Amino acid sequence: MSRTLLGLCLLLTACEGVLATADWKPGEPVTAPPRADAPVEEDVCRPAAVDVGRVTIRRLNRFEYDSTVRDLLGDTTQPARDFPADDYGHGFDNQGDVLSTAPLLVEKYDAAALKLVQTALAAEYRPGFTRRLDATAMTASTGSAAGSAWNLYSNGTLQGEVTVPSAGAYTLNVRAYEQAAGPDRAQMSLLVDGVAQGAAVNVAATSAAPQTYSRQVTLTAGTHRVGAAFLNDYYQAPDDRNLLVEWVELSRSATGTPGGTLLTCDPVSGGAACVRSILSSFGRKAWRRPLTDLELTRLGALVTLAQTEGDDVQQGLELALHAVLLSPNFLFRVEQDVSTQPRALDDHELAARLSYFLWGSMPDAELARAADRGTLRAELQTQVRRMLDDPKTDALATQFAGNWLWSRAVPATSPDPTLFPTLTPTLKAAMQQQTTAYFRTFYREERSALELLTGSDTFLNDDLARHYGLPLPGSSTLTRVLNVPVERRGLLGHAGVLTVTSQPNRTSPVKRGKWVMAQLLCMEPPPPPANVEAFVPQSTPTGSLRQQFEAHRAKPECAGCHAMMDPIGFGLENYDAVGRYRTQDSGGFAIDSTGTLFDGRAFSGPTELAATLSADPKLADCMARQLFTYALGRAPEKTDRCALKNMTDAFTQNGHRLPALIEALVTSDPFTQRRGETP
Amino acid sequence: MSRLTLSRRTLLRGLGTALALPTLEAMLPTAAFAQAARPRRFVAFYVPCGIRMNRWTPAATGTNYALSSMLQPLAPIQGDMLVLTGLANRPARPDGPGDHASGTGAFLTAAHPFKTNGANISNGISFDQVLANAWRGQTRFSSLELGIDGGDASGDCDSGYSCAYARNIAWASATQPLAKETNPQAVFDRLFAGVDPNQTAAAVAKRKKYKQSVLDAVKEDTTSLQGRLGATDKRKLDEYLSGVRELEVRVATEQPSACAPGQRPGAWTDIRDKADQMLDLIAFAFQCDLTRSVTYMQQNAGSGYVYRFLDVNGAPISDGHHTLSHHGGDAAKNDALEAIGRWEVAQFAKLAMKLKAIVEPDGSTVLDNSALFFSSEIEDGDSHSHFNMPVLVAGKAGGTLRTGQHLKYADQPSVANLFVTLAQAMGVNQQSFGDSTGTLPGVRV
Repeated sequence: MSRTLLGLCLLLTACEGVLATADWKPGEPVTAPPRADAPVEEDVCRPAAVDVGRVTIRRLNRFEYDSTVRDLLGDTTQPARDFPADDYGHGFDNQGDVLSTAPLLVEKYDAAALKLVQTALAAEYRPGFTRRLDATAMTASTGSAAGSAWNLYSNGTLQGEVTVPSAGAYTLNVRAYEQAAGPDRAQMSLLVDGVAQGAAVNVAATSAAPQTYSRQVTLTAGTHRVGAAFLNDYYQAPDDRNLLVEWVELSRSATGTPGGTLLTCDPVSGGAACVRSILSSFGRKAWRRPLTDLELTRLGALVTLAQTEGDDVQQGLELALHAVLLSPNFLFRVEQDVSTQPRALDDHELAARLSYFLWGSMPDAELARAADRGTLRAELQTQVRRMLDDPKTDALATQFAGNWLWSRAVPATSPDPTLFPTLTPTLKAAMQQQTTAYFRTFYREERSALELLTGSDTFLNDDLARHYGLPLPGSSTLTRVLNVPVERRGLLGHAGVLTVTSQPNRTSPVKRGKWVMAQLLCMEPPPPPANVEAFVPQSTPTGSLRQQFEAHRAKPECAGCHAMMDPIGFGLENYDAVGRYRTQDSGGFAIDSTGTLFDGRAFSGPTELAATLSADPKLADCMARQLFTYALGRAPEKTDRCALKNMTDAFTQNGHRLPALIEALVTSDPFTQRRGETP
Repeated sequence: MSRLTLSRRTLLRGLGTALALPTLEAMLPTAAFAQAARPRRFVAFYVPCGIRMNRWTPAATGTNYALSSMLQPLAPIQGDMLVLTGLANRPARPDGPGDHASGTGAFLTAAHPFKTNGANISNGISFDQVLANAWRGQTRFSSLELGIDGGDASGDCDSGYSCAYARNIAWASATQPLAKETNPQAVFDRLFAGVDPNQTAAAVAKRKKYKQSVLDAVKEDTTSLQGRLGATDKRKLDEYLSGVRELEVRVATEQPSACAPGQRPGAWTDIRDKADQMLDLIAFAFQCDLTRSVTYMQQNAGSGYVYRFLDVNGAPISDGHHTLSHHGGDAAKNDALEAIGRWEVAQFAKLAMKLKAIVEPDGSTVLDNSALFFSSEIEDGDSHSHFNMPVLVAGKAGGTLRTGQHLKYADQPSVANLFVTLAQAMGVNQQSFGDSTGTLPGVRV
């Protein structure tokens, strides 16, 4: 890294006559360039300067909130879609210092929590239900009233309608007796929607002691016809067998249905002990640590309050669980500041760091068990391996890479519809997914991350293949395609990357160059000085866009930075503003995509550019920095240099496989420790 | 991320140059106006990327001035507004580049946003929040923060300034930006849903008791948690706590309202619909006295929105707003900027007209009793200047403003002087704000 940085410095020197190093701050004297053999300050790891750092308490961002309630409650409604957008810091939307909590957001949290809890309880908590139909008020096909009963004096039915609130198991009860005659007992079927439920029953009860005959039935929610049928009328005067029905009833008892996400027991029959067990179990998952007695008591008081007010235990649980999801213990990832000295995170804190880093979500049962046992630290590598196999690592592709490579910004791009009429939202979605799917293979398949810029495989659907002018894979979903033409190899051939770094109506070599430098090499060029004359493309071009740019950038105050950025962008001029390959620019001038990088390496065309960048050791360094920023929720400081160096070394020694980098990161001191702050 | 820096010399060069509304009476909850006959109301209306000033500033000053071409949409309310030329927002000047984020951060704070991509965000309280604090408890929402674009796309905001500065003009404190709502349907639901007029008093009372108990529980959680945290984390939880307290006010003031202002907004196809809906909602919120302090961001700092629905010289605009704003003197770009600015002014005029159409019990209009502030984060897109800002104030703030004038200030007083003047005009006892040095002459009656 030092050699290339030095090259850069010399180039700047040529432009400005002075040197600026990466650590230079306004107001500091500008020093002479270091000798060629002196390491650049940036690169040095000095153990004495190590500090594990302090991470500001992190609120769940929108993605993390949605993923967490998915894993906690099975809720996939993505309530955070309605939350205000999370602000970015250091290019990521999970930075503790930047994630603020506006009153608007608290209001949204409140509404979301109530809805989540009500939905979850309704699914698991079944209130009691009883609906009795008096026989004389029902519809009969035969017979007549006999006091409060209905006398079915010949074969026929007695039915009425009941509306049940939800689907499930109910008990159908019929209170009946017979008027005996002949050799047999009166036979009765219990009916639901005209269908006999099981075998007919022999009714042996008499008018002196009517009996209740029952059947378990499964009903859909809604209105059903229920009743009874008399099946074996007998009449040999004066002997007359009749069936008399007093009432028909549909009921189910109020119960919880343990085994779901909330209820560990039936709170109706289980009383206070059960309520406490539910709160303890759900609270443990939601707050990512065991609850204290005081906390359980505080939540339990909400259940008691509802009962005191004459409501049932379900209402009480609704209040308590609402409080769990509105609590800062749920909404924030809490790490205690017990002293200003560095300390090892406890296992619960570490589990949460791990799961939000790799999954963007809460720890699962296995991780929670390891934390409860206190063995997480010892089995860190095993856990990471296990976690990397979980599909939830998609978060690394959609969130980490989505932020890092700007693929999350693709749907919001707005290419000119006149110039680029094929850029539909569907195509933009495919462009975004291409980068996501491609990045995913790097940790799933443990590929060398240096291939990010050169890999010969990619992901296409028909829309995208048509956009690229490639054979259609015959699929509307993205599928893997091997051995694509060179101009489609690696990230720099992805239309999404090329579109987010373009203007709506033309390419922007500057934005592309800046993107490569800042995102891939972590060398962000400073923004242009104020009051510089903006570049205005010629309305009737007399030369290629590149020639116009080069004339414009000849000014000394511009040339320094543009000499770094522009060659990269010009190297990508073979791609138009939506990433289609071309050999002439929009003015009809031939594309010249040759150039020389700021460190003196020459290239000809985008493929050589990609190979050149891929061979740059800054690429691996930069990936480590980006991953560190995402994982920790803070940017690396000077005091993190040793940790970064260890990470990069492990990464390099292991063939640039991302899992190796991830392991080095999660076992590093900044990840596993925390320095407190004075209260 | 290690940031390469240019020479000090280069850096120094950059420094320092740097719906038909029903009438109000029919809709009013009877209690709303019991204490204050004509409440004062404030709207801050933000537009990004500066203004084409040579088509903005009226040639003449005083009362009988002719509106400039960009201000034409305001003709119907020329007598109800002020054009203020020559105001500055000095604290908005960034440290090095970053005028858009810095100018947006300082838009209503007249404080200097600390340049940071992450740690130690620091700005100042915004003027709308000063008013919100003064009027807190009088309405269900102490303030509303509205906008068009949430800004979810990517983390590249402006030259080393966190997106927090680029996307928020309302700041509850130096460290707490107030996120805005950008979905008109969600705004409507927030303002008007959930109040069932058929509930019994006992049911309402019980619901409030439950809600308050839940809030009490989470407040206790927060307090005990804060005892185990460092200063920064405590402050983060203070932000959360102030949100919980806002909710408590909401719970306490909840009552079935007779104010039912029409339809929930429908789907929108582009920002024209969205802007229409948002402006309607601001008028609804005032009409039903749900809030008195509103901020509205027409777009975010340095917006790249492409105004394709605007035709310039016979063709739709095809460049992004920010790209256009670096016009470099190009005539076509300036024409596009003028069209965009004129459209923005038309939105502001629309809001003013809506408020003028709402009549208060004493016969005055809501516009008569309000102050609507319009400006941008910079003067002009090329200069990125924070002097000579484009500033409008519509409304008479209860008859206390001498509207109908174009005032020109030679010595570039701070926009904060205007805020102090407006605060006092609206009955809020504020002697200083931001970098103010006093009040603004000529504005008050």
